[in-house]
Amino acid sequence: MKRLKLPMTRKLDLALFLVLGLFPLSGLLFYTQLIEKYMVFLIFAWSLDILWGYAGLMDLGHAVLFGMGGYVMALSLSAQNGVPEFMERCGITQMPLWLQAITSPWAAVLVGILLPALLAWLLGRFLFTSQVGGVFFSVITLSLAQVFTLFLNSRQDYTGGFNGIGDLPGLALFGEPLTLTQSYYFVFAAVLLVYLFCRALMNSRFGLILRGIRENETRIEFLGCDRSAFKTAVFAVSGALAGLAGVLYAPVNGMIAPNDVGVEFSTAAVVWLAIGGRGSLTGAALGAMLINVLGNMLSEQFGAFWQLLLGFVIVLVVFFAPEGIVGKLAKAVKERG
Amino acid sequence: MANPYILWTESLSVSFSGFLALDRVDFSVRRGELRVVIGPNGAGKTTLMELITGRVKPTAGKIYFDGDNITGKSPHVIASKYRVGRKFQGPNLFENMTVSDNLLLAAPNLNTVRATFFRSTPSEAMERADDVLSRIGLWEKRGRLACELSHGERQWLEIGMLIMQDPKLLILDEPTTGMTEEETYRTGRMIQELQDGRTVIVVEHDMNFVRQVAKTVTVFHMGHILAEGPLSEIENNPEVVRVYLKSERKGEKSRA
Repeated sequence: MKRLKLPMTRKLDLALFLVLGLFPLSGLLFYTQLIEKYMVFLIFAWSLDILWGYAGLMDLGHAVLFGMGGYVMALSLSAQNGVPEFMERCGITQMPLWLQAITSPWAAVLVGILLPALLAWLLGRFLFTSQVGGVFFSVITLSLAQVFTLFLNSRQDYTGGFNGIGDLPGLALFGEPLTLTQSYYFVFAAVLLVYLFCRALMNSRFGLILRGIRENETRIEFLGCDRSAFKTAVFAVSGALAGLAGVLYAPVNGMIAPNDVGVEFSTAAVVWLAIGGRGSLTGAALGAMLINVLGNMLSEQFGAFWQLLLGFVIVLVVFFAPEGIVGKLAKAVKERG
Repeated sequence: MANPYILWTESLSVSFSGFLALDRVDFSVRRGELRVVIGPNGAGKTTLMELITGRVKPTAGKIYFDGDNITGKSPHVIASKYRVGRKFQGPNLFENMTVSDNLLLAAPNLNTVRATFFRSTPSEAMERADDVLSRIGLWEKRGRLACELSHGERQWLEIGMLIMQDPKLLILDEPTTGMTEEETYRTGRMIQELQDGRTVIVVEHDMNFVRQVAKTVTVFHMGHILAEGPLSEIENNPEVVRVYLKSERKGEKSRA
């Protein structure tokens, strides 16, 4: 019988999903809740990986797309019993029309996914057809994140300002709140679906062409490929997935604030990918999990000092494994034959 | 009567910040012809190729391909709709992708979002890629990254990508740069084999190579067409000898 030979990255994916799938059995409630949140980050990490890892577009404001989904969902959840409290405090007594439109959680899910996708698509059309790329794309998205945070802070009446929107109910299905375990497995299922979606898309010819664009932008044009159309398309898909992550984040985390969606969180995702490795989905997932879990453990031990340690680790990885941990591993496996 | 020309330009001009790189050029190529373009550095040969493939937009004048006005169209449209293929000066590959992926990227008419979104490369294209892999002798190395290949193998891969692309017009910009005499000769043979009913334009410096492949030669000088005709005629044209061939011959001697 022929043995099924899986590439190293696929084995790592399976191992990760196995650990995640079995984790609630440990009975560690606090950590189950924490890992549930980190699983949402996996979706966010993949949404950046298809954009940066595959197509070479480094979005330094990716959390804007995440935040749009998150805020849409948070607003919807906080408006379940009439005008949200933070709005009342600002003197709003009537439910605004746009809020009525997303009061149904399903509508919020839809808008929370489509709105960031639309923003990404428009931005892509605008930037990529005028040949804006490389570092300019990064700078523009970075400033977008800054503008988005400013907006959230200044429109306190609609966004809860600096404090954000809190006291959100957890995940519920058909009016029934889910228990922690149910909620965990709901997110786990979403993670698996998004993984399969990304894997299928990146294994299709679309993914092949994205890699081609990353490798040699000018050459691929002379092979008849409209690179701006591809970049716009992948940016929109990435926006939808980042939005979905945000939609899940609001109920799972119980609150959302400008800190969760600004430059800092965007940079965090970039660091996950840089350390884990880009362009394989595996590296993004491993990087996101590893850094968040380690960060949690180390901050218990060292407080704010752990950020300094993280900085040190980043320097080491960039120096010794610029392709990231998974990239380095894949190379080592290949060389061993 | 079908138009015998596949490509022609009408008083095509382009200037780069005041420097007139091409000045009212009327250049035309017959269907199925192998045309060689020669001329000193800065004569406007490569610029003309940039214009035909859409990378540079002309300041004035028009370009026609297959009866259509293609002036100002994007490179990807000229490559996909009009099937103009191009080999660059020096290797230009997808370095961190495998040899077969490089070939698959070159498969024609498959590179739109609609044709690729959640779709795999059609099996006909896959089979064609396999066929090309054995023709260019890289079947054994199909899983290797392009950057791991030797100089010669990279050249073959480029040629394989062109076969894969199956263009109507093939533009080869100095295909023998950096090659040994032996490799140059093999490339000449390959080009003749590649031609197979296609129209080919070769921009070249190496006169030995030109003698090997050329029938009709166009000589550029300072943004103009200085002369055009059969190779024997060109080699004895006193004007051409004065501005170009003399220095080339000197160059050949000093290289030898």
